[in-house]
Amino acid sequence: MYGDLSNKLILEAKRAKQLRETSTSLASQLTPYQETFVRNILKEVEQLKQNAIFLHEEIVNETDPMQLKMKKCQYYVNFFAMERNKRCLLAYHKDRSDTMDSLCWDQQNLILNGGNGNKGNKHDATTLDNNNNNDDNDNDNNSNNIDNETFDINNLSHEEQVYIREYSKLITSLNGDEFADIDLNGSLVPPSEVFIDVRVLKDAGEIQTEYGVFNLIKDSQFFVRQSDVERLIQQGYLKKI
Amino acid sequence: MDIDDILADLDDTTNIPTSSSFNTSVFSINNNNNDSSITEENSILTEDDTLIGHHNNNTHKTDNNTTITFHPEKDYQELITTWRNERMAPEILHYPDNLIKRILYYVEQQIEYIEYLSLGFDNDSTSTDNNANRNVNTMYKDKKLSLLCMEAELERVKFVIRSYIRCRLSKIDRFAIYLHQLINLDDIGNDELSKSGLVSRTEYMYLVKHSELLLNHLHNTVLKHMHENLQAIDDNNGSIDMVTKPQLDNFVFIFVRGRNQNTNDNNNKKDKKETYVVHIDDEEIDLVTGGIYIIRYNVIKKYLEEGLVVLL
Repeated sequence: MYGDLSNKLILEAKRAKQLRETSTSLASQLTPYQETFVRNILKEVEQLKQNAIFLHEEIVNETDPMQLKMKKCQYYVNFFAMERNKRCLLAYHKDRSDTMDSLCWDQQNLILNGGNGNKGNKHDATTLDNNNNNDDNDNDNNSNNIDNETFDINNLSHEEQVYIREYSKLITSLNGDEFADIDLNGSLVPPSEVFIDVRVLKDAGEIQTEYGVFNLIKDSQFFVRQSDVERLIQQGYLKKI
Repeated sequence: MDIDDILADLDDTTNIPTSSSFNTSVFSINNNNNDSSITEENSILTEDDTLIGHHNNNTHKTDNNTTITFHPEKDYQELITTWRNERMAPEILHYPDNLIKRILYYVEQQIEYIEYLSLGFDNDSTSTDNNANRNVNTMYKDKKLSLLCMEAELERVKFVIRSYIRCRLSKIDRFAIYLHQLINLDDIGNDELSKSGLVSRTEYMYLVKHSELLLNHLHNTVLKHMHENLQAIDDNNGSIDMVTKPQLDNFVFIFVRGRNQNTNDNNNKKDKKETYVVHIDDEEIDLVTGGIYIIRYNVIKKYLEEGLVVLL
């Protein structure tokens, strides 16, 4: 029946939403794009469109009032089915784009890194050295086999990849001149202490801060200024303890 | 997020007797040599909003008769109020352009001041002779604490601004199409938009670009396959309205602040509190100054804009 596929798509969106709320791992934030569903729905829409054109012609040529009524009825049902499909498709895509938006805000660098090399590093508050870049490339090569925290760009459709990249750029440009001191991407949890203890989860090379250079080696512990390492915590290099 | 927690946090440093809160430390930027004296008119802003270097503000002050004075403490309070209102209001509120500009200026100054202090102390502790060393050391420790407090306070103010802007951006995202309609309806261009004051220039840029991105994306994936009559994303004839609009009849908590929140100028009216009348259907309700109410947002919208009530 018309609209059944759309229903399935909406169910899929609901499931993805539930998964987002219950799971914290980055990989489960965006489920794979349901390309077959979408394509089949679009096929259905195409068919409905042909029907509509056909019915429209019939209505114009119909003279018998009883028949006309029936045809019109058919036409409307047809039309509503199209509209329903459209709304469902839009809802699914909007839901995904909203998720991508929030991912962009929280995990900006990760997304860009997952997508194409190390573009993201240029927005970094703390400069990471070459070691780190090599690390990132390694992660990219063997994707999510090793690292569950790596964002998998393959879950997105081609259009979505374009969208997410453009949106990341937009966010970066917002951070420009006017709010240069604020760092809009920062944490939305109110800060309680200036200095915090952090543990290094992944080798991240050296970082330069006002208080000197830290060499971030796995499992070591530092007492650093929170605002200096905010970005590294977001990226999963450090963990607050 | 619990607002009370945040506020409690924000108040933390002001409770430490030795520390200087954000406001007072902002003051001390401009008179570096006498930390304790706090005057209200320290730095000035000329009319065309260019900022004057703080070291020679006194001379400039005499030069320009038309200057705007800064009141950091008041601005800070206002920022907190604006932030709270924004977070609790169902729709997007007017953007306080000048307030944000001033606050950002304070933040910038404060960062510089903190940098100056930390550098200054480094010099002090290395280059002084033995006699003074002890004194300097204790002083260094004292200042270190206040420096820490200042930094903490700075981070908090930054957090409030960040939270405020992000809250506005998320509202812009949510009501993107609605805002577009609103803006097109009034036929406001880019320049006049900032005058109308609903969103700032940056926010407008964000609104336009983001909806463009989103529309492109949706068009490429869905809409271009649709029947031509079905390509709109803002039609509301069919079933449910496609445009997300703010729920103006949501309930909000309000506190009636009244006209003079600080001083009781009207001494003779002391026992009789000022009231504001609102109408719900045919019913008349008096809002007493100092009272807390739960009420539909659209009823008190105009009082909120006048600043007579604040959202909680």
